[in-house]
Amino acid sequence: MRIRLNVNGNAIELESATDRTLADVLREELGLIGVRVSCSEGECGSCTILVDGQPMTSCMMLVNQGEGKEILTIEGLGTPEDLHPIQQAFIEEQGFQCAFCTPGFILSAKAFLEENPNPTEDEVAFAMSGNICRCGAYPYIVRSVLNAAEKLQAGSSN
Amino acid sequence: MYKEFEFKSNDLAKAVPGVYGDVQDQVNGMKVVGHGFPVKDAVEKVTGSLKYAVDMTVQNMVHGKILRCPHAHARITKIDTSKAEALAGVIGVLTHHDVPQNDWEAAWFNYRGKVLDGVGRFVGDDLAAVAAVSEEVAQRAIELIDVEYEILAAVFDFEEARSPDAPQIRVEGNERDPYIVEWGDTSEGMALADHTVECDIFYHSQQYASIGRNAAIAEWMGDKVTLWTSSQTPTETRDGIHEALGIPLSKIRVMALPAGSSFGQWWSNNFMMIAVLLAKKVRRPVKIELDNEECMSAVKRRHLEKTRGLMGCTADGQLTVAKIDHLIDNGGYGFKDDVGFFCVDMWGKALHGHYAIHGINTNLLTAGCMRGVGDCTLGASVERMCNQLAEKVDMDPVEFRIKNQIKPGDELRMQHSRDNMHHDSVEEYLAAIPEEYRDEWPKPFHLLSGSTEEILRRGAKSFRWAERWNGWGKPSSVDGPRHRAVGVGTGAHVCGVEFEGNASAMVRLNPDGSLKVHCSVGRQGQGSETTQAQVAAEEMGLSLSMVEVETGDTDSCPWSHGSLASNTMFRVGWATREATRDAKRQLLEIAARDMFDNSDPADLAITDGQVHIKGSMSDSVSISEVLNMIRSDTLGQTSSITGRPAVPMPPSTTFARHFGAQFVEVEVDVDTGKIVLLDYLACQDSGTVINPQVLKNQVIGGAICGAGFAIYEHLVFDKETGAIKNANLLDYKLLRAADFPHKAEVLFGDSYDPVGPFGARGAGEAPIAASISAISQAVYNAIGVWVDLPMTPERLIRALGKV
Amino acid sequence: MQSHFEYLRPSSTKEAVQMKIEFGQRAKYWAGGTDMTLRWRREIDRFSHCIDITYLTGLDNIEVEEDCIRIGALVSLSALERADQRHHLLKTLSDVTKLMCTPQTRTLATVGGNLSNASPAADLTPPFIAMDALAEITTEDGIRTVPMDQFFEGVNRTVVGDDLLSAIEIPLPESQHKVVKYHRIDRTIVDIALVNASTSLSADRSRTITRAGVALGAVAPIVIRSPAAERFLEGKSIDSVSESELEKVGEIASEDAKPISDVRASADYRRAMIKVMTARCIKDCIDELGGTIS
Repeated sequence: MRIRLNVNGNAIELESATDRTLADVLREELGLIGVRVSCSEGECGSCTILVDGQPMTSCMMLVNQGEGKEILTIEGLGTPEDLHPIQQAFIEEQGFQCAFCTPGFILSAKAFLEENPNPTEDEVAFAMSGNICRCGAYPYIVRSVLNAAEKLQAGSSN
Repeated sequence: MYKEFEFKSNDLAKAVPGVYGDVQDQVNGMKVVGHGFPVKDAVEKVTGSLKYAVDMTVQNMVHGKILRCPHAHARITKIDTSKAEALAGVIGVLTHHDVPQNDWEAAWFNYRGKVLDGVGRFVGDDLAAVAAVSEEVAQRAIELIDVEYEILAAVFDFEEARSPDAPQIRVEGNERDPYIVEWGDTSEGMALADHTVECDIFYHSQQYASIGRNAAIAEWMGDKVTLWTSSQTPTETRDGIHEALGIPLSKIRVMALPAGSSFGQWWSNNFMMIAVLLAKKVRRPVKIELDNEECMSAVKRRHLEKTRGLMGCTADGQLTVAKIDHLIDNGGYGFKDDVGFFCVDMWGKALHGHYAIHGINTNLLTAGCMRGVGDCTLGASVERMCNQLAEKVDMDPVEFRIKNQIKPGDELRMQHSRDNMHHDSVEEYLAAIPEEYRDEWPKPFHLLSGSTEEILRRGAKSFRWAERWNGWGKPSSVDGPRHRAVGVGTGAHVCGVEFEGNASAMVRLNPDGSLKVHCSVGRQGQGSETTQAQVAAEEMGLSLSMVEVETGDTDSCPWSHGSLASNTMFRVGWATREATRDAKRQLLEIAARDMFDNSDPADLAITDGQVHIKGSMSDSVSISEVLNMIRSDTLGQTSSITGRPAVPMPPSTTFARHFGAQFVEVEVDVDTGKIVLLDYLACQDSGTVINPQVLKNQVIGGAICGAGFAIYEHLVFDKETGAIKNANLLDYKLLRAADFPHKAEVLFGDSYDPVGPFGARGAGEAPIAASISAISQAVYNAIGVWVDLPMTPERLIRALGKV
Repeated sequence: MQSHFEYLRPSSTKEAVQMKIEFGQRAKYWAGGTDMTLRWRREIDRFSHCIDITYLTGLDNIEVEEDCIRIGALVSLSALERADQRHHLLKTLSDVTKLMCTPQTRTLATVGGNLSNASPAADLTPPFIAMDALAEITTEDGIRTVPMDQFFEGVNRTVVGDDLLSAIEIPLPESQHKVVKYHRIDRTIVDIALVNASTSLSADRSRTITRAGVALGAVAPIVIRSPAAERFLEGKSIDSVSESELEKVGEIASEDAKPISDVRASADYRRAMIKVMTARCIKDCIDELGGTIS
């Protein structure tokens, strides 16, 4: 059936079987490889996207569940020339190793920091527990999110 | 005949965790090495544009799926693919009848067998494959293949599998000859002991549980094949294809792509070989993409292991004897038996020792090397026994380790690896090496540099160990059911191996003065594309931005083992530096002759890409000018300079180890069995730290992977079929951000390795071992009982006798 | 092989129920879909029609009234998590949701979906049963109400049938203070409960426990009550329960547990933990009621 999606600010209409996951459609039809799929069961969080600003694991969503909603993938966040402050913070603190999980962490962090712009370390660690980093960069991920919070605070007070 | 090196420290930072890079810079004046530069692919990583094999596509490719064995052990008596082939969209089917019956071998005996041979040796084993226009059609076709099986007797218990009456899984038999390391006379060691302890410990199997999965895309052009896959071992994968297909190495190109977390899972795997053969059969590029369940149940895993043994010491805490028998289960296709490096060598000051390691096959998923192979099991057993001895003589665990662990200059016990550089032993290899090389090499079978001593002392101070440790088996605080205590553990590993060949690398100095390094390593998050570039940039006198590294293309990268056995910085980094040195030598010879009035090249140096007389920047010329000079030089027929190592690297198993010492505080709920990690300090001795930002991340990552093995992670095998029952992340538990202390710190030791690049050694594997032992000991101190791994809530409560 | 299915989007609760009746067992309601996707992927369920009810309106409100709290079936777990300031019982439920799956899944998953999935280890079920909550079920003709402890028939089976769970009601008895607490055993921070327990105590002005609810999870095919433990507590003063009575009531509850051994935990461990968790829940309830353990 025809499905209308709004992805990274672009209105997109495409033909898709209704029993495909949103993650598959974003990756395979739209070429958004930053939507990483690993466990396919909503456990690892690699496929996290923001739907109307809320973090969701796109491997667990039917493509229809994205219809009429604002979808943000990592590709819509920042560009190499103009990185989002959270991306910049992840580079500074090296909040990753292999980085397969990184887009998911960054988008989880974005939703979290919008709701809680000035978090404690424990709150960050808890909020970042919906994603798995098998390489074990967790302490540096927590520091990345705290660094990003500072950057965003500084940016919003300007 | 061997060189006497001075044992020196790095003269670097002292006990300033986190700011090591800055201090090192001030002290050493190195411009690139020692700095925590962001990794070169950082922007690709945070923007999601880095391509892993699962993201790779090739024009006109079709999709492959693998038929997996439903039985623990079965021979195909008849296979009918006609219904599958008739399905619309199916391009072709590959069965064992299409496959050359050659054995191929993955790095370090992680796989030995045929690609397909009509026998399934575990539930999930590869039996056949389909290529189709989509994954979905391929999967439907798989279900249409009719197979008749002769069910064979199976064995899952590795002790049962040792019996000659057990079902035989391989033509070589189920058990290898034991790998034995021995010194002195253990009966004498027993006689000298005032105290002895024994152990009989079983270790469950950890799963790599890679986040990122993997895919293999094979494309043939005429009789040449290219394989794209995520791999830590590009050239070894090429060698595997060569063995499996029997075609010349020159016709095989592996393009290894970055991998998700790997820990040894993605070296060379049988599904890659299937992709190559399937693509050949259907004459189309084929992509086989594994799903998470396949990654967790059909590729490989850590071994199941068992240690039985005893250790003894004198009343003043000198180890006198270690007598240990260790079993490892290789599953269907593993072929490994040598996992002894850590404890054999690190605790090698024991006066008498005998370690025997037995590799055994079973009808379980193939087992292979996972990060810290042997260290996390045999090593943990030895650490536990040493802890028990230290308790008997009432010694502090830090002091017991300092007293009994290896120091520079001490003899290494592991001296007889089986097969070395195609010689029967490393001694034979050494004997075959011309003396002019050996004269520059360190004395074999002696530790050249590094130890646990410095990091234990400094770590204990930083962690306030003396204040926080309350004695053996005694919690430091008790609040209702919650007991807190601290623990310390140590780990060591080799710094790469030389068994199958020497590491090489190639560099090309371009006409614009930029440098390209070609070296065969993995990119699974450990930053090799950056740290290799740092080594080359420092050696050539370039800024980091002028150096790029090709790690995965076997058509340009010379052979190395790849990124395994903590090999990348020590051996490949050595080769990268030597290759750069060779290019620099060529460059300076031309510059000295043509641009510095036939001066001595030894008087020249390069700084920021400018060639100049040492000590003076006046009259400098750029590398680019020198290279453009030789363009018109009748002797110089090329516009670039190629460098390669001019000498072989000494065999690193004979002198190099890296070390970890870690400190942890835990809280145990003695009513529920739940363990919480509260505080963490990971100390690491890897010689010079090439990139502190990268290394501290890798060290903590090792600690977290070890903590997972210590507390939660284990595969559950079905008793009837051997099938894995928790091949998913819902029931295979991985630690998350809130499960590990986010204030964890890293402290680097300051040793310097005379052979390694700029004094660096290996790094990746000691941290996981140290973590397991530290957490085990802390739990013992909290509750007064030793708990076998993983210390899940239930196993802890059982150990306390409450269930 | 995962089954193919048709996607349907009803515009009203009634239409949803009619669709379910029309397509029968092989049609499935799809709320957040987080359990459904798993069941579909693992080929536990093969279904022909997906009736997407996420677009229905009016089922995603939390209403706090004098005599009850009403939670719409399509309230997401993250919405329940954010309702912690609205009532002290919702504070506990909020704490429970924080233990459930991941933040990303909580955004998708719904309270009604979690209950309808009927997992014996579900986190929300024990507190609802302990609080004597009621399931409001929309039928083709109207509404029927079922106590939560009679809602489940077995693993993944409920009494809903072709009808639709539309809300959960927590009754708030007059002139009594009702509290609820929850404990579970898990491994990593994101996990399903290996075993769990919840207790709810209601006390009147004389500080007497007028009603006790003790619910135990992952110890039977459905979440069960321990009537003996409830009777043991009812009539006692919130200031008279002793440490040894806490232990005793834990023992009584564990005798009612009928756990099995599986990949996550053994029966013996589960039974032993029921004792610990029940005692801890009751202690927490008495603390919140302002009582003291003697």
